[in-house]
Amino acid sequence: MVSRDIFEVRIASRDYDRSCVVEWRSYRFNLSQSVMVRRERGDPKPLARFMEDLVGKMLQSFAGLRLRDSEVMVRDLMPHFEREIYAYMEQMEYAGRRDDYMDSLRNNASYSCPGEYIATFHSGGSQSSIHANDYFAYPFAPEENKEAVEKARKLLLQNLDATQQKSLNKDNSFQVTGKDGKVYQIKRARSFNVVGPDGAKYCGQLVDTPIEDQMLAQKLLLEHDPDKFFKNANVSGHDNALAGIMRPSAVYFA
Amino acid sequence: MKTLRVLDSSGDTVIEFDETTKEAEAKAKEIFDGWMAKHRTAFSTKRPDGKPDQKITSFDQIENGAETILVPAIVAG
Repeated sequence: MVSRDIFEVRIASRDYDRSCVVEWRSYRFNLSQSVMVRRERGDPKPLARFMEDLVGKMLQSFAGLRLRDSEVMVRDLMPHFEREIYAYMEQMEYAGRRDDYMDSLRNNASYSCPGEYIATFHSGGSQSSIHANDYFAYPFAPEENKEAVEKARKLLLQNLDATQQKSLNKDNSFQVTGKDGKVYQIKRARSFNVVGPDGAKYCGQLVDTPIEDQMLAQKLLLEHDPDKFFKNANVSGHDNALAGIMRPSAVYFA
Repeated sequence: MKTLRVLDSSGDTVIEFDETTKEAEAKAKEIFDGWMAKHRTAFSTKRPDGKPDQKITSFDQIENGAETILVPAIVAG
């Protein structure tokens, strides 16, 4: 049996805004990732299981290596873990919307988030090439309309100042000062493309628009109506960005 | 001239109107009011005299020479 210090995943609920925090943590490798998901998008346990399959099994396979070697390897894999977990969450969102469309009778949230849940990874063997798309029957693969993208990019550039334009052209990202006085970075990506000053990543998307339109909407919302953006966005954070909302007590089961 | 830009799958759809184009103005008002009824957001940009962008909530706030961007619903991803 692998001890809890290699990998654990925890789900905690927040009653006041009906969201859940799903966090995986490895004490052995000194790494963690937390994501906040809206409860109405369904049961967060499959996301926790996906984390176990993706991250837990990988960490387990490194556990037999020398600690220093395995730490380097695992840190190199962090961007991959993040990318796949975000992709999984995006699929959750699209699957939820598809369900809403298919079943108009499903009003409001039907899922009741558990107070707190912790699973400790200790299954044997490792699995390679785990991808979020494998977990959904109809993975979402948005196609980009080149003409629309060009049009949206032109509009975005028109709404940026000179520094932001330069940054967008150079790095495909720009900084914006929100109404709350904080500086956010908006990157050209569909998911979790808004990065806060504390490293937390926010995912608030537009459906069926080019990414540049989404970036413009995010800029305007952060500058003039940030509450609306944060109320509707999922958030992911490292370094205990979400630690304050995790409850200290827990029920453990494996 | 007043301009509405609705962000959509084509990038954006533009509706230009003023007091002299009653039909276009009525269409713009219908779109704007429908947008607001769905609790979506509108921002006035490129305002005259270098005034800063601002969030607007009523059709009457649309200014001549400014571009009003209608932002669809933001959803978590």
